[in-house]
Amino acid sequence: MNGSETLLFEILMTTYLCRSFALIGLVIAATGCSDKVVEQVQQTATQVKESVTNSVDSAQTGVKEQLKMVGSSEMTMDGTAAGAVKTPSCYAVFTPATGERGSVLLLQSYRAAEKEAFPSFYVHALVTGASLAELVGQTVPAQMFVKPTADGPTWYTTPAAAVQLKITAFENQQVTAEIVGGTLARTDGSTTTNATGKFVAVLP
Amino acid sequence: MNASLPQVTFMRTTLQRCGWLLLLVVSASSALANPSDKQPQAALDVHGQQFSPELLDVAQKLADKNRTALEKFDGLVKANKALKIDGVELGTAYVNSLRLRRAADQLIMLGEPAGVDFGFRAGEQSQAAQRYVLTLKAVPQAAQGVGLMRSKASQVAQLRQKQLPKLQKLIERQDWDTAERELHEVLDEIEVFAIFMQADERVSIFAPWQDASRAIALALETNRKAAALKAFDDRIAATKPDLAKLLADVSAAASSLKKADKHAIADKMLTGPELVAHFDAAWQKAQVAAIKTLALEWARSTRTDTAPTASWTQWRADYDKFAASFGPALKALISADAARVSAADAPALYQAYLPAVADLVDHSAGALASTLQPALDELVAKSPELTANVKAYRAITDDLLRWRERIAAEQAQAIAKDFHAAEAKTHAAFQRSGDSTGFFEAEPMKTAKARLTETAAKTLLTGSPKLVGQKIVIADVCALGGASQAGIARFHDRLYARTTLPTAALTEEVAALETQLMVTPVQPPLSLLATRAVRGARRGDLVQCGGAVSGIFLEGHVTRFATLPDAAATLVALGQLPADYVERDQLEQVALRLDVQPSWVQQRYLFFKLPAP
Repeated sequence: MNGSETLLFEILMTTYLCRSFALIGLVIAATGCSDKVVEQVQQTATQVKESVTNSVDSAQTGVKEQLKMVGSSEMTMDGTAAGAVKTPSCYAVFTPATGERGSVLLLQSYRAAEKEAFPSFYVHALVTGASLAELVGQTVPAQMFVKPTADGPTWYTTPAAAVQLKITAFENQQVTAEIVGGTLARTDGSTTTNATGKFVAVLP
Repeated sequence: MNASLPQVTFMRTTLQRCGWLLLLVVSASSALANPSDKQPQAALDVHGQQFSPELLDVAQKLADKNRTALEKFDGLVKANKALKIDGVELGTAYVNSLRLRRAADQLIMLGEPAGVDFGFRAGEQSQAAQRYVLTLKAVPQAAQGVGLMRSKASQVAQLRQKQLPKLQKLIERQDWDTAERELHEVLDEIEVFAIFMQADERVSIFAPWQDASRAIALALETNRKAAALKAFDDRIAATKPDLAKLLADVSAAASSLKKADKHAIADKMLTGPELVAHFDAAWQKAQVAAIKTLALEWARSTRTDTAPTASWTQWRADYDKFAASFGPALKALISADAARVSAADAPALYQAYLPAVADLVDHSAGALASTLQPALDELVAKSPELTANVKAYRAITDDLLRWRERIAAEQAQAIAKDFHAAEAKTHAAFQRSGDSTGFFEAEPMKTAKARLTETAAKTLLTGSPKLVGQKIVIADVCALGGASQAGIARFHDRLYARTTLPTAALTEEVAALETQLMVTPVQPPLSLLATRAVRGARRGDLVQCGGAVSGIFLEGHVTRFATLPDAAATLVALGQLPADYVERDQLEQVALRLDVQPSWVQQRYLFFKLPAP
């Protein structure tokens, strides 16, 4: 389990505990226990609730911090078995223009190819702009590849039908972008689908 | 070339002394091609330039003539008209099958696989002629005719006995060629009729010629073997490339580039990148010559008592050693250039090296990439600006290419499920099983050893229908280049394939790849990987291709490589020699070429499904 997955697990566990104590309280009330006992239970439940709330707040803060470090992404392939694909990390690489060559924005689920884990994705867009900040608000055609599992097929854009990538924000070394149109095909040739996706990418 | 002329003259003289052309009426060569599914009766090509073409022509004509005659007899027998078979015509067909055997034996002596096929044909045709003789003998109404033929055989044999003293004199003078010619003339004349005789009668009429026949055969066998070995030695000496000189040339060029940006070679002043292209071409030419040399060693071994011979083993070792040294020598050349060049000139020099190095690496099937990349890195390191640009370019293209390679492979894998591996399907079509003839043993299920055990025609007629039209996958296809649209799947386990590259259909796909790699006419790729991607895509090289088999061609294994043209250098990756088959039946060994009509192609970085025709 990586860092962000650990935090998500903690959130789920604390939510579960909170609900369990509330349920115990209802059960006691229904079975007619003494007021003192009920009061004690309610007091304990309140303490637990506060504790849980604090834990959730803490965990959510942790997740936010974690997101700042690794980013995240969520893509959907409508009407397909792959459904939603989420990656626990997302990185943006911006290469400004050199000579005749234009700028390029990459979004990817891994820091380096040799550390690729699945699900995995890669977005490659030729862009106009000297910096990331200049890209905000632009919608550009992009090549996109999504591989939900290591041994399954890959979803990809054909060169003739690139997805449309909108760069919505760049702040605190974090790029936010989304897919606003385009289709993906699957390498086994079985289907194509409309693609959607949201990316919160950090600079590696 | 001038130096080789006396050798050729000598070879011709030597071989002529040994009676290679004793056979018959030599007429203008007819157009010959290897046997195929469409022309199974065609002859296997020959590799020798001296005598082999003439012998092949003679053998082919005899085989064709006999086939026509035998088909006619077959038709008569099937129509219950055996009595209409002309006895002299049948006897002549039998004699022609014996002549075909002699031509086949001489081709074998010259190291020609075609001789093996004609040997099988001669056996098949003489057996067929004997069968028709038996058929006639079994027909009571033919008894008179058969009796006449036997009488005629005795008469001719008696008449020809007068020539025996003359033949003995020729033997005493050791004029073996004339003696053999005279002997065959006599025996053939008798045999036309003697085929109708009983076995004991035949022994009796041929007995007077037996001693002379043995003496002549023994003497000529010895002489021809020696002459064949001498001819092979001469051909090998004339074919063998000067590998040491090639290595020395690269070293000299590397030394020059330490001090200057050009080096003189072949009367031209060449830059480092031009030198890499020059040595790439020179290496390909040397490798073709090395392969031809190896194939001649295979053929030569059939005239010796061992396989492999010492010279064969030594040649392979010499070439392997050379190939292991030549890549590093070229790396040293680029490194020398990199050490000399200024930071300001490094970018242009790097850009000029990329296409030359990319092509060289592709000719080696990628094997030289790890050897030569460090030299390019040294050149890049000379300029901080170039270092930054290359690093940035690789950051935005290396991984893109990785993903493109991945999806191209996955797309091909998905569609290939409906296609057969070329090796498996070819083995299944041409394996020997039960009474079925074939090129391959039933086990193992591989095509690595293919040999003739019957006539090529019979095997092709049996196996071709099982393979033609089948959907197969061929791999490692290299564009022949030039004006040709052909791609050749590299030789592997006795198989190679030819296909038509759909370069026109791929234009848009290749353009899209170039756009993604940010390549324009004025802005070429900036890494070796991307340069190889673009140049390979433009050439039309394929990782694999699927399609229906549209043709099958059979070739002698020795002949395929002994006649390898320079233009077909890509058949074997640069730095390698074809696998040896270390047995004594080199001439029986064959290779298969499949023609494939593509329905999909996988380049390294793109996949394309062709529209149905």
